[in-house]
Amino acid sequence: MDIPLVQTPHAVSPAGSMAQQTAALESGQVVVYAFRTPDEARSLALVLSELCPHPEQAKIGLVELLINAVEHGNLGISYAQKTELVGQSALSRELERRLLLPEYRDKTATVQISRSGDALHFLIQDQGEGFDWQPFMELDPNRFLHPHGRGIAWARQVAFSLVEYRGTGSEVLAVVDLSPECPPSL
Amino acid sequence: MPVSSFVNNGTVHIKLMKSFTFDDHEAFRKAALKHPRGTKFEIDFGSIDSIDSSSIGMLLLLRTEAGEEDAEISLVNCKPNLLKMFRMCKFGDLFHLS
Repeated sequence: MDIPLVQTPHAVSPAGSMAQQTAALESGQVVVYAFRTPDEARSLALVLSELCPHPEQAKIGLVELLINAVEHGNLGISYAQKTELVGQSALSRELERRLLLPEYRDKTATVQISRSGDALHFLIQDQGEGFDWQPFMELDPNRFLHPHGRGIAWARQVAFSLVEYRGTGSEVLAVVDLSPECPPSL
Repeated sequence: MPVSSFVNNGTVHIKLMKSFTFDDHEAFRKAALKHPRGTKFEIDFGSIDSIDSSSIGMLLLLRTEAGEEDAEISLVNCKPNLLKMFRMCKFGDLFHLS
């Protein structure tokens, strides 16, 4: 199987990128993107959402999962650290700092996109140590005042028909239903 | 400019333009997080189609700054999909939603 690797969504023009991806997916190929920074994750989410029947809600879920792969995965920001950083309005600065550190600067995350029947699969992998993902699959009333921690549950409810973490949590499969009868969730 | 704001009768009115995501937080922060505790806020979401979870954090931060339980913050002109997202987060208990 050919696996085209595009380093970032900026590597090809958006129009060419979309045509390439659609053709590759329809012929059964897997399309793989690599990303490293929060900005790349957001840009990539925007590009990939256009492959989905309801791009606006797909974008919401993809942003959450791709950003998690960078922040909590590759850059090792813990839940407690993020709570403190958000409260101090210091999260962006800390992410930028970590991106330059030797222990983090070579880490990349990937998203593999493939089509299976009426479903589009996004397999997101990072190079972090994983995390205890189970408490975050649902919105927890005990955390409803926390300034973060809703992204995964939100992605499940808004964007995907399935979100499945694997192993230690450094790999997650998100599935978009492509069947014509699948209505928007929002 | 993704955010415009003005003060009228002691209430800070903030209008969000086009989007309210991570990229807009700095402008929102400048407009919202500079007022004394007890200030009332009305935030107009009429131009907003969707938000991300980091924006939920930004609104909770504003609520903390504005007095937590005593905060009076209205999120107005929310489109149905946005209301659904806010209610998922139980924002009806924390903000005035309309």
